[in-house]
Amino acid sequence: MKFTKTLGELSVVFFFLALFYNCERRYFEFDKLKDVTYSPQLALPLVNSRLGMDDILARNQLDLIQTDAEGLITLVYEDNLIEVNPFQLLPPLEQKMEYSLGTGIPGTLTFNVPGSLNYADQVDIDYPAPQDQKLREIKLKSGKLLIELNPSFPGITPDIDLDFTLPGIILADGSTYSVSKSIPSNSPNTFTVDLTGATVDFTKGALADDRFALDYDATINYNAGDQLGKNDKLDYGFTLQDVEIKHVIGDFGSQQIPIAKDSLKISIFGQVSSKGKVRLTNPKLFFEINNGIGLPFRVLFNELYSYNEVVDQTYPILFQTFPNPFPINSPVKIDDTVATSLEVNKDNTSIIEILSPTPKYLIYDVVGEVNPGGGPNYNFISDESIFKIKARAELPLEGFVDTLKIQDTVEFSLGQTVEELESATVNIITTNGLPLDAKLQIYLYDSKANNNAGQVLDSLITLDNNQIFVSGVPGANGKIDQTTLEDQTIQVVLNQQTAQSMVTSDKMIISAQLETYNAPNQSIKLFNDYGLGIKIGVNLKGAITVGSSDI
Amino acid sequence: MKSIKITLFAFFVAFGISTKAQNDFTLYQMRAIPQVTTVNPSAFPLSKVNIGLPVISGTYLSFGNSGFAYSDAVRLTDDDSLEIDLDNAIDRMSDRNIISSYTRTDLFSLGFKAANNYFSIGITEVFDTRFFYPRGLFEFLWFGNGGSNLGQRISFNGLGLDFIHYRKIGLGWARRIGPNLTVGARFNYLYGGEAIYFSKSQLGIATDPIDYSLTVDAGMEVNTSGIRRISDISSGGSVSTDDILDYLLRGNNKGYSIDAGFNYELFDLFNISGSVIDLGSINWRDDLETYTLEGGEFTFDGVDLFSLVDPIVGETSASGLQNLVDSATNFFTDFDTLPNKSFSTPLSPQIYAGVTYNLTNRVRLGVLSRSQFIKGDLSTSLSASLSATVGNFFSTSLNYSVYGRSLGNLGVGLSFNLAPIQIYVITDNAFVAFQPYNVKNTHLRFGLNLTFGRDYEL
Repeated sequence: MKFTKTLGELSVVFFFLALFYNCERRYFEFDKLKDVTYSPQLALPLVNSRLGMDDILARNQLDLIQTDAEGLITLVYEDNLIEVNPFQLLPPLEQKMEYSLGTGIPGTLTFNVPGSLNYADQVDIDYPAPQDQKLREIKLKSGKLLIELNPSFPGITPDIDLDFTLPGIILADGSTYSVSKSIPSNSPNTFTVDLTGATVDFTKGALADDRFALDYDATINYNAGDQLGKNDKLDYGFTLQDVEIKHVIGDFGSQQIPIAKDSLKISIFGQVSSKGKVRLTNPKLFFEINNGIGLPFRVLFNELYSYNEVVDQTYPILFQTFPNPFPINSPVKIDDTVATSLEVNKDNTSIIEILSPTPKYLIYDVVGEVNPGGGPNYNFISDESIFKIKARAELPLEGFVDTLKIQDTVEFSLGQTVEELESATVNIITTNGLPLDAKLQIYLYDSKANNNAGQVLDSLITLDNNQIFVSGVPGANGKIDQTTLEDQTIQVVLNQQTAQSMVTSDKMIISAQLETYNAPNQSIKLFNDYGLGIKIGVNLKGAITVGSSDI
Repeated sequence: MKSIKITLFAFFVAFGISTKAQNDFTLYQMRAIPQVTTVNPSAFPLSKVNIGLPVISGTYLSFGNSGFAYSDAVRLTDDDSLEIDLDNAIDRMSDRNIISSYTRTDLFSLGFKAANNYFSIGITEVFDTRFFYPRGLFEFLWFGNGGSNLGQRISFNGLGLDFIHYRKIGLGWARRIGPNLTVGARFNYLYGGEAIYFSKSQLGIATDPIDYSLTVDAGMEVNTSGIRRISDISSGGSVSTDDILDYLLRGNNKGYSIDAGFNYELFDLFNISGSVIDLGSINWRDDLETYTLEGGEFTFDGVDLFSLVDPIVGETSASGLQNLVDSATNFFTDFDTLPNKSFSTPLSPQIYAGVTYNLTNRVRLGVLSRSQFIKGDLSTSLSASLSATVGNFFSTSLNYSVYGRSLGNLGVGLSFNLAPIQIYVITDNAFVAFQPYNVKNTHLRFGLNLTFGRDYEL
């Protein structure tokens, strides 16, 4: 009985417990499931890079950068080698030199019986040199002499027997040129002489210039009844053809020849706007000249200036103590070459000032002047007389940058909505081993806004947090200790509004302002152990709504 | 869509029904059922001779999740809607949580009284599976590694799966010593079948609060036995009779465990009892394979742009990124495989301690505590019970217990006898039938015994 009562009591308790814990079916009515908002925060590192000057040097495939013993970095811009053809200084050699042999009789002479008349003499053949120029010797590698004999003896029937010698034509075997032949008395006769290895001496045995001798012996044969008139003659013509010169000796006069009119592209200033000031304190411009022309020579800068294409301005150099024109060395022996270096630097010109406006081009026009002092100057030009000139700009990275602005506009398209992104925090951590302060701003730009006038929609970085690089402090030795650098962090927070602007914008304007340490009061140098580290991480906060119908 | 919802339901139910398994609060108080000796070897069943028929005499199933209940993750709102609330579910988790499944089948059992002794023998097949998941895993998936997790190491330590299948052959002896004290012990020979054991599981991810660099630390050791054999068979390998005999009888995966207990009657009103169960381990020596991942750290702190793009000539190269991917892949996949490393898996010892008060000679109230050690973690649970018998054919026990950080668990046990045939059903959490969304544990033991010489009066 007692047990039954107890069991009954237990049953009541169990019943109420069961009621209390009755099954709630609503827990499984999934059609009443609300949307789920998923808001994870994902933090990811994106970039971790260190750009050391040593890295740049190691990758320097363009020979753009050099360092000295202390590690100071120098940017080097070289122009192509320019070669000048020295034979352009010569007068035209392939000119016709003439002599006319007359009969010397006053009227007409009629012969009754056969016989002959002999004419023999040495005469001068002149080379028609331009004024102030004189030829003394041409040594030929190859060529030929065209000899034109034009007899005009209409009353003479037999051939003419002709012997002549040209003592100034010394053939390759050392002999002088001579010829004997019979030619018709009244028709032209032309032939050539091979002058390979020959020398043409225009001095007529050191007695003259521009002249060589003709020794001739002409026998005019006649028959009975033949006539010889006062106008009868034998014309000689001598023309050098197809010459390849070994050397030429003479006085080439005072001449000016163009050497180089070109420009050096200084790419370091590629994106720099006109605002701000860059001052390289030790730029140099070198011209290396190799001269094999045995003439007094000097180089003249007709023009030397820089050009900033952003503002379309030129900046001409002032030659201060730099001698313009600048004499260069000449060889004293045929086949020698001597070198001359021209250095345009801060001490002899205003080169610092013409580079300060951050020009993109350095433009020069150089000409050469030979025999500048007038004559007579007997010199030589040989086929070994090279004349080469090479321009090189050396820009040691020492100086300062003061409030220099660099700006670039890049196409940008996010391409989709970012509704599922509630916010994003981008941390940019830099470790700056350079003596350089830099501020950065990125603008979101809609070029189609305001009827295509364009509009800046937003900026990504707050003004009080835009210093992306803080300069290292140079020590007493002028160098920054790369082992004691501190990190600098700037934070970019992108909220929904900014994200919407990113969707709307089609361009990004990236603007940076650079300034070296303590500019403009102090110059800094960039050494090869300097480097720059940058890390970028992003923390994304999502706001992803998953509808119950999606589940 | 319906299948997705079903999957969602199954997910939360699977994660939301929990226990650390092997609770036997109800059985402990039901001496009418001979299997009571499995939780206290000193217990004398209320029948003189007990035979457990092969397979049907005892089946024990439990399944659960210690982390959270379904209703912790899916909540009813005031406007009669359902809302997924993973924040709350994560709040409910402890640092390390377990999804467990425990299955035990009695192949045969026999017990009998002889004077002041009770002798028993039993053969039981046990499948014990535990999936350990750290709270950090859910925090990482739901909250991400940013926000408040910046600068913190999100720990996935302990992530892993332990599974053992073994056969237990136990020989028990209980004896009355004097009028009030009963002691008992059972020696178990353990014959291992298969095992997967995460003997080391260290995994974590930390995010730098400034540059957001990610540092992953990891160290793993996974021991297996018999898995390769199953894999070979499932992929079409042939199995000979010899193989079967090797598997059933001639294996070398051996272990031992001891169960011990006592009962002390005080003033004929109180009974003080205690037991230690599953104190032992199995040494695994057959068909071994161990996978190890050396401990270490891998840090990803961003891509070196200059390894991708030459800053001077502007050429791009994918080699830098490929190197990074290769390094990360190697770090996570560079497992060493050791073919013959034997290992030991400890059982999960349980300690019961209880007191009952006899209201009558058939009805008693009791309180019982149970502690269990799982891989170094101790979990303790408590129950209060009311047990009763009717005649020699019916016994019952109701209890209310708190375990697995779950407060409301109603245990019910019933046994009926039709002559010697005893049918019993026991659960430690009957609410699973009424409120599956609120429970973290489900548990069921049932079977059929032959009991002779019953005397249900205490």
